[in-house]
Amino acid sequence: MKFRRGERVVHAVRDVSLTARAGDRIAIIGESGSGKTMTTLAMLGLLPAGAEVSGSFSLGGERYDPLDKAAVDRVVRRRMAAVFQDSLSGLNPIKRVGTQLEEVLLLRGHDASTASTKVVEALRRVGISDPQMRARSYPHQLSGGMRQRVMIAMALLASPQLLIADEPTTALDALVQAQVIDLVLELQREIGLALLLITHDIALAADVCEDAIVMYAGYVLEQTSMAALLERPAHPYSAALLGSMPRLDSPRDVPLQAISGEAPSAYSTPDGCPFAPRCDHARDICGTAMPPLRPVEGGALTRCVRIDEIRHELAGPERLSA
Amino acid sequence: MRYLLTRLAGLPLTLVAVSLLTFGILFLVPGDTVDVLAGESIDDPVVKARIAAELGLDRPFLVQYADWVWRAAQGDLGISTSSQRPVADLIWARLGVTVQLAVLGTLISVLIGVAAGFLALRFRGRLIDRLIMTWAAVGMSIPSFVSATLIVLGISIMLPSLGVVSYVPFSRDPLGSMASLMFPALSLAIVSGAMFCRYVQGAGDDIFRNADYVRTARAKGAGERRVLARHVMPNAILPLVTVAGLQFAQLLGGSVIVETIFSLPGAGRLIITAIGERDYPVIQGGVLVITLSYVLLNLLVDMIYPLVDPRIRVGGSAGRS
Amino acid sequence: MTRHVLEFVGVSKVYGSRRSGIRVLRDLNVSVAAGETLGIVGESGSGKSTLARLALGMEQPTTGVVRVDGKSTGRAGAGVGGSAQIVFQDPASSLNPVLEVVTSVREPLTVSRKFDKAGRTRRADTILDEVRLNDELRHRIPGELSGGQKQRASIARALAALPPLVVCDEAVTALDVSVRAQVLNLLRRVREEYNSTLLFISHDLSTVAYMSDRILVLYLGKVMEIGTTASLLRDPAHPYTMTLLSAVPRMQQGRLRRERIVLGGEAPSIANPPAGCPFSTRCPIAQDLCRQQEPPLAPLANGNSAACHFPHVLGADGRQGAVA
Repeated sequence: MKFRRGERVVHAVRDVSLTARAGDRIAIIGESGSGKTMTTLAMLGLLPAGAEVSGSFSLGGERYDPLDKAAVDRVVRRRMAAVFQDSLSGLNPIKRVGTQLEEVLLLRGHDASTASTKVVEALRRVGISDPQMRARSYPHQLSGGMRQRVMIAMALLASPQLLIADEPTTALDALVQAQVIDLVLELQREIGLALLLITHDIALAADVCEDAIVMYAGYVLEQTSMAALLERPAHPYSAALLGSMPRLDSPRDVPLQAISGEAPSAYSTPDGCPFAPRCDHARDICGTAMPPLRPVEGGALTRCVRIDEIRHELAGPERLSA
Repeated sequence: MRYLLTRLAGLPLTLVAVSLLTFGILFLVPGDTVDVLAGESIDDPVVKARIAAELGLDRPFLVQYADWVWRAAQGDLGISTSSQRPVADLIWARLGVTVQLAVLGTLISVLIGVAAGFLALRFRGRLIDRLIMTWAAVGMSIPSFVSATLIVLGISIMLPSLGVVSYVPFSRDPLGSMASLMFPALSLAIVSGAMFCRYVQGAGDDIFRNADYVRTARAKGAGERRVLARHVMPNAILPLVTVAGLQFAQLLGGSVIVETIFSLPGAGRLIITAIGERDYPVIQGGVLVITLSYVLLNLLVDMIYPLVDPRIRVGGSAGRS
Repeated sequence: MTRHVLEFVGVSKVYGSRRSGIRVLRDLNVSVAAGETLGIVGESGSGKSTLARLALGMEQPTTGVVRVDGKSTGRAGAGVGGSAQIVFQDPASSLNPVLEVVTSVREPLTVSRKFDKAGRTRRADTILDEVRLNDELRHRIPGELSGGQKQRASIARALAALPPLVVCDEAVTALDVSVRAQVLNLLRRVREEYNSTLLFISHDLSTVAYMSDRILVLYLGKVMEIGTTASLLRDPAHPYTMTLLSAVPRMQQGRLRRERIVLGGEAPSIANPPAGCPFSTRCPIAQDLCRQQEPPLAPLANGNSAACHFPHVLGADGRQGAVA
């Protein structure tokens, strides 16, 4: 997917494929500029003007074009919902919380008279105490954790089959984060949702999800099960990410395995692997052409050209602490 | 609440400063005050002595000031030297017109501004948007005397049958009174309406682009029209409350030119005439009244804003996450 | 005799009137030795930002004394040479957007009056070399730098005048994950080079644990536990500490759901603190004593201190909040 900014073209996302089934928990792991948010915006049909999208999207067996607002309305709105990172700016500051939640129902043709009751029920369901009073509050009167629960309630009211959570807990304290994640998982079990968790926090992703997609500079570099990612990463970037995160058992006198350099700008179009400039294992071959996504031993999909040679050198965190 | 009390606490100081300055105008004029007031009788010592005694000009400045403030508080602003009538009466008679004009002018400006801003946002990026914003930019730059003159010219050319519409007092015929002020108000509204339009469009555009709650609304399934009407406009208009209030306060004192061009018996015109005639009591009194209204209206606007913005009205328990 | 670079003696901070105001910090008695890194852990409302501001001299304690390098922050000592410096979460905060980086780095040197002009240039170049900002980059303005580069410039600026204390307030939180490790390694390197004393504040327990020699756990303005990192992680005493530890995602599948200690109740507001132990409203093992009497910060067998009537009890339940 790409979009134009003036004269220049930004290739935000390139060649991403994923399939989610009910009950799946998939993590899209990436840093800023990786294209992870853009992918989900495309899925939701919330792309900014000027975007060009190629590829197919289907939900519940029905195909849709993310740029076609009518199609998006018909297919997506009823079955996909999202929770975003910043809940304070994600809510209209001059409207009461309850009103904003009711809007979800009203837009779907629900009866206005029952809407407020359903909203109170939804607030109760996400663990907000005294839901009737809270519904009459304004966003700034709620704490960060409560607001995020409101956003989850908002997503739930749409009765989705797929829930996208884009960095839902990044702005929250540790304990609140755990509570919110618990809530999401509980609801997922109850409703049988598919969950797509977008995050840069691999530890969180590991805890929550069964499958992982690692993105970098718009490409998928590795796509595999979470267990495999942790144990035997199939891409130097994945391994480097795992090694660079401080953990509670990280020895304090050992420097972290930092990744040198910085992520490429959104405008660049590298010839070969976009991670090559920062990769410890890069060779000339890495700069020649973009490798395709192909399966390797163990079932992972990877774009690393040299993976077979170097896989044994890439250690997962389990190996590191040994 | 504390915020209000703090603002109110500053009021006495402002009032003192304002009154001191307005009273002191007389003494800032070059030349001896008595000479100035004597005018043609400048060489007649008897006249000058009488003036000095009458107006108590031989007393120390602060005593005179205190005396003036004391009398002003009771409604006595002195006697006009040109017409020999009480200043308070003169001002009072004309204040009504100025207030009406200010009210009407602000109201029309807000209507024009919001409507134009809404249209510009509704058709973002299209021709209408560009046309409206061009008009807004030009309109803001037109001085009010130009717009007033243009309107007068326009009326006389296009609607000669209308003749010169003279002011109809409110007490006599409220509706006709407002109608007679329509064109003067319009000439004011063209300028400030343009400014309001830019405010609304600017705020609205920023919201469309950057506000996350717009994305949330779209994700809920709201169409563009609903997003504009329910989410963008209410938030974009919010700052207009303050701006319109201030504009109103400004119109109270600044419609002198429009009053002159349309021959309206307003307070602004009164002061201008008084300046030309060196009628200091009127100048002092007039400026004081207008400045006071401005200060008080300012405060009123500050008090109204919390009513409109729930973030100010109700305290938050939002934790820093 | 260890030199203490930062001392809090009987410190408390109240916003508003002394009787009815909000107590954001109380009973703070902590000293940080030269070359030590003290990590501060706490959620929002815990008072950690206030603690940082007190250390920097930006605010005065309501009771007690804050001393930096022996000098009380009450006097004009704060702000003139030898004062604490800070590295903010937002790298753009401490860098003047219109000045070249190298100029911004020289500024604290000018203020500290420790160096003459030639000395300043030398010193600035040295510290910029340390943070690995090459000659070309240091002559750019902040807007032309990436997040990681800006943060490195902030660190250079903070360390340029060799301050006795550096406060890192969420210094790496806003950075990309792959850049974080770079900056953390950099901090460790310069810390060792200059034997710097650091106050490291973060909500991410893993990062704090990695960087700190000792950790201070704050809850609602009160110290819950303080001790060396190793023993705190291995053998936490306070239920709150254990809860925090258990809530850290550990890169093991499904662990959070299995092993997390779940708290009841809602977080109390600092305007209305509970009587007795502030954590008593949510503590899984709270007793009547806890609700009535506030536990003092008492020393433990392992050398740490905890403010709890029943330290180590939660662990005895078989639920170790410690590192697996």
